[in-house]
Amino acid sequence: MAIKEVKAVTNKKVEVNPVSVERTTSTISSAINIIVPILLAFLIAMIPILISKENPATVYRVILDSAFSLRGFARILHYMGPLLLAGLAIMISFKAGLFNMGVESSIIVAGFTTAVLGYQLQTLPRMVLIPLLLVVAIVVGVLTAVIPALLKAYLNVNEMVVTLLLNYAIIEILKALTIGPFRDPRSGTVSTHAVGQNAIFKGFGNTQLTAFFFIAVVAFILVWFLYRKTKLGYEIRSLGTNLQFTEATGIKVRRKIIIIMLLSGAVAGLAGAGWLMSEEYKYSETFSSNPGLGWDGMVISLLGGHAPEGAFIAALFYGILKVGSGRVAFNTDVPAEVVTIIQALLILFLSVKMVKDKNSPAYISIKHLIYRAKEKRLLRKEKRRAKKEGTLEAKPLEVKEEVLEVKKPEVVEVKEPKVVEVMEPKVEPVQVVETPPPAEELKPLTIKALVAKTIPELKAIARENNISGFSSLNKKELVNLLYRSKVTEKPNKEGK
Amino acid sequence: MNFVDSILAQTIIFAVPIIISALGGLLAYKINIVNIGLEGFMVFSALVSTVVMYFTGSYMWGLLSAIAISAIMGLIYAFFAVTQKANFVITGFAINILAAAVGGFVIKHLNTIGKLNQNSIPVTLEQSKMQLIIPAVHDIPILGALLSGHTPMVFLTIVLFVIVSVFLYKTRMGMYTQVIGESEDAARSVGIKVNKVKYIVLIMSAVIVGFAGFNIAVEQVRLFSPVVIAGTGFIAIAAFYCGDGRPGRTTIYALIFGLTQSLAMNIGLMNNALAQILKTVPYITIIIVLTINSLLKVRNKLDRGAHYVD
Repeated sequence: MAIKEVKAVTNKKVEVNPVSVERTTSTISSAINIIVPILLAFLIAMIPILISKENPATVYRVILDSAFSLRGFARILHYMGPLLLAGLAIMISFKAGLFNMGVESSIIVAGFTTAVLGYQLQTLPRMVLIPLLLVVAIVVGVLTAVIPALLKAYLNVNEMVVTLLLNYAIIEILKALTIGPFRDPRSGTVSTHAVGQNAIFKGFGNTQLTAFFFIAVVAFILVWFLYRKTKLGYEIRSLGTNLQFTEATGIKVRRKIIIIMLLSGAVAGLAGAGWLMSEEYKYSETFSSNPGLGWDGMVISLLGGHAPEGAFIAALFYGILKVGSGRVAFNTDVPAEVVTIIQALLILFLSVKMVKDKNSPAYISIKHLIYRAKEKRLLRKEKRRAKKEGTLEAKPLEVKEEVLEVKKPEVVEVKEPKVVEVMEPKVEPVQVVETPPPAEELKPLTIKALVAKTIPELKAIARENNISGFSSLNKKELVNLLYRSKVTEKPNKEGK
Repeated sequence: MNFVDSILAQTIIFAVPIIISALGGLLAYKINIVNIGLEGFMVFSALVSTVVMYFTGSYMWGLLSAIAISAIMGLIYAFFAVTQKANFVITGFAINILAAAVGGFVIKHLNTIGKLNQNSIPVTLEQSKMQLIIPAVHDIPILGALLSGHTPMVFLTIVLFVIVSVFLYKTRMGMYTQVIGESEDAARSVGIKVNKVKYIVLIMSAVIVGFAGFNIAVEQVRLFSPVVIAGTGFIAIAAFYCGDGRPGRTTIYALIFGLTQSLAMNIGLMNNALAQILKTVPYITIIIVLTINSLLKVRNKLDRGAHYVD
């Protein structure tokens, strides 16, 4: 059905640029793919909020409120740094078709290492210690990803299962280390020592925004550049699209898999270090909170459509949610789990593409609507232009104003047929136009009538009127030419 | 109970939920859907059954509610994975996070309305009432530990194993399932209603997985908390991966994983210092088993990209 309609439209008005229609359609489709899940998630999350006897509107306002104050916004940006990096870490691997769930473990291992080293080496000057810790964190993040990377590349062990299982193992190991040798005995909870003052990113002024946010932004720019402008970025996308083909083109898939997994680990490591040095300061079991930075990263990457630019916006949105979730538990009776529920629902609905591929009915009907809208706009523009030109040229000739007025009742053209056919069967040379034609029988075509015709029809008319040189013209020019030369239409085949 | 006895008994205890959920998971695996959400299905089933049992105190109601919620979850999952053609890995993952969040929410909510004052939902029914003792073998040393004194779900495992095997290899629907797994287009071309079969298989799979959640929360740990399942779902995934989606082999791998868990726990009990580190042993064993398994599989493949594609 929908396909037919689009085709019909295409035949009638060829003028709308199909490329621009395609582009607008895909932009709108991806917007729908992101906005609808967000709305659905917030809609369904109303159920637990209502169960807790709170007003959803109040709760959502509390969540979004923080975005509108300077301190709140600084706090959001502060959260955004690690979230953005976690999102990028997931994006790099997911885009290549590698489900690296080990981002979470890279983050916590990096966090733990930073915590331990930040305490042990706290006598070092700030300018040395912070870069050192960041580098170590990146290295540790990479090391965490080595095992699944090698297993995937050389033995095709499912990386998702391996990384998920390794997550459990690593959590247990870190727990053992935190309980055992690295525990801070003075702390009430099980945690490591807090890092020294020199290893802490301090907030600017009285806000929570730290220098780490800018480090994250720099990392983002690097990843963006890598993803969009380099060969590796292209290979990442290519791997995710069609692995066999990628291999057939001569790309060394094994090496790429390893590089991508390690890169993802590196970015995750940086995220872990940043989270520790700007927010947590010490490693404990709840370091990456619930459900964990790595999983937050997954939502961000999904929300951002697995593209760096999208991830940036998604991280900002997610920062608002994250800051909001703290405020929700504080200011309302709703448990903080509600925000996790929102997050889970977001992932759930984001796993579905509301507008699927280019052959899906939804996509086609959107395309149809856009086509119509563009066409209408073009027509309106055309009409306006024609009107302007018409009035401009009408002054010397003076006849045209009448024509313009006459055109209102559209029936005019229909009136013409049968009688005319007998009287004036054939060609009217161009010169004839100069002498005003017999008004009753053949009126020159109005702009409106011309615009309503398709190009082939217009060309036919031109041919009938012995006008030459129209073959390369587009519709606007054709209409202009025909109007100016005051063509008449031979009423062919009974009126239509 | 001596050491061997307790290891054997615990192997059964650990292996049962893994076997059940792996049997459920392999059904979905047969139609090329790797359900990462097994964990979440189990959490949902555990949550609903413990809540129902908390208020009714009845084992039967708990079990029925577990089946009901699992069927509903299966339906939702099938809707996403089949009708909406979602990325089912991510759908499954969302279900995992959702389950934990909903679990936490329910516990907090029960606390706020004053029905509960702790961080988990306890199962009040005594364990002895759930155990089925087979008089004939109960006193035989090793056999007794293996066969007697278990809860109904342990015996159900055997039934489920038979059901799944018969379903897959002896029934028409099972044959359809396998055809769809081999080639969906081929199945469609011979007139099999692919989506219908997928729905049936996914719901069946979810219900079976739900039994595992019920087993862990009600019969073993005897309480519900959002982390009660503790990775069993993922171990089950590893089990049917290694077992290539065949019920027999899958069960054997599940038993091996159960055995490692039981060993790790029993050795940990004897040596407290190592206990924490030993918890990682099962996971690492599984990774090693997966690796060896892949090593064997990869050797026999020659076509392009076979090394990288499942």
